Amino acid sequence: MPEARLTALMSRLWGADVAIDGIDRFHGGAARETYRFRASAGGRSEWLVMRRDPSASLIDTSREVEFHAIGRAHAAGLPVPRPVHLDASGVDLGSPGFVMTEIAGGRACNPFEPGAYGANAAITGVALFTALGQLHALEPDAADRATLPFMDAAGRLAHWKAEIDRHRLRPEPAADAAWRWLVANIPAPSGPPTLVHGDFRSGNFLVDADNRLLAILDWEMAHLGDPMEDLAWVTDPLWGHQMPGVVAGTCTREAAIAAWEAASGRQFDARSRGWWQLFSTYQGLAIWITSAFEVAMQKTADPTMIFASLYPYRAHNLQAVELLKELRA
Amino acid sequence: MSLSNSEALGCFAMAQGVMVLPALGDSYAGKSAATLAGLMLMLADGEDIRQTRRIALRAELEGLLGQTAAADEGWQAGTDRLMAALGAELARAEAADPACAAQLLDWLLRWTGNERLTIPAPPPADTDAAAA
Repeated sequence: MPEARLTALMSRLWGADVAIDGIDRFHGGAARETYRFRASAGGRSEWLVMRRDPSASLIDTSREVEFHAIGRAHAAGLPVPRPVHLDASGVDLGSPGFVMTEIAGGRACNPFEPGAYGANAAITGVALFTALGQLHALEPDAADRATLPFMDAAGRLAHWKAEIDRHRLRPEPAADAAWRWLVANIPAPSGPPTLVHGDFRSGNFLVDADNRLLAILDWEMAHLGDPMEDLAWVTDPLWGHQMPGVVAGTCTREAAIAAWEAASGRQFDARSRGWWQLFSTYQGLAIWITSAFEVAMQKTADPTMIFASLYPYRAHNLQAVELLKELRA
Repeated sequence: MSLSNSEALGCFAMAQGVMVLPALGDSYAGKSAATLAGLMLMLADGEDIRQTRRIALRAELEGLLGQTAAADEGWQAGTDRLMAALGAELARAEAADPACAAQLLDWLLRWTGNERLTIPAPPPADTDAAAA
């Protein structure tokens, strides 16, 4: 438990003798180790969250990128935690990470649980896709361009191809066939580049007890690029709570796209939809293949990583072939 | 044989649920133990029929590719070698022989479909507790 480190850090930040209690590690979130804790000094008390790099991860990402993206979204009024402190070197937290405020009363739903958003699912969906549209309406500024990598469709595809090649344990005929089709059919951008969340999906946002949207989390894959990437990932059937015809377990695709278009001021690019759907599947395969590599190399025993190596991998392997057959027809 | 592999996995999951989870509760370790129990159930569910289909599908692939796994090869090593050959043949056929590519893709669809797992349904609610 990182209690001593958090005590020293928060005492320095607050300029007081801070007491830390209530430390609890969150289950899941295989990309980072995430803890909640309470900092108290004098009359001040605040629940905070610390995220730091684990020994092995689903994805190799930068804490500066995540911290910057949360700060940018927070400043723009999007529902996100308030960033508190970045420790890019790991000197304060033991490994690179950061501290942010906790969203009180928030809960992340299991994206594989049908009906998780209950009677307010459609309302939650519209709020979710409106928030995504608001993110995509932000014009990248100088700080964004200095901190966030720019990755268009071709760049993003090359990124995941490298991950698959680095981590494959055995032949991957479905992923390789998907890559061949994708690289031969790279679409034109759907519009000017925007901030892209990079992992926008059910399970990465918090809702309250009535399932109303509270906060969007997990910004570690943020970059500048094409907003169609976020739209394809969040509407991938894998994250659909096993409810065909309902995106992210919330609302219909039509309602989602309408909310996104209204908030972003952009038009959904129907011509590139198929490409981005297959890209999403390929991205998923890259993440799950990386996970399997980490597990097989015994760098981690986290059951979330083992799960990722099995269920989502096999679902996306099948989906890649199904989409290829559709796209090649 | 007293228990098949998939029956044993199901029993391990039940033992985890009955003997380990109550001791760990709603902690990080407890939730991890629950995930492990779920993983065991997921792998056990339908594994016997998946393996029967794997054997038939692999024999079909051997026919499509005109090559067979070696007699002294383990199952996984033989399958890996055939999958590598499938990947190479599919890449060639996409450019030179669309009918062959379609046939290989059809086979791959059935193979990946057979490997698809199902998340186990949560245990039924405790109706006595709910009534109370």
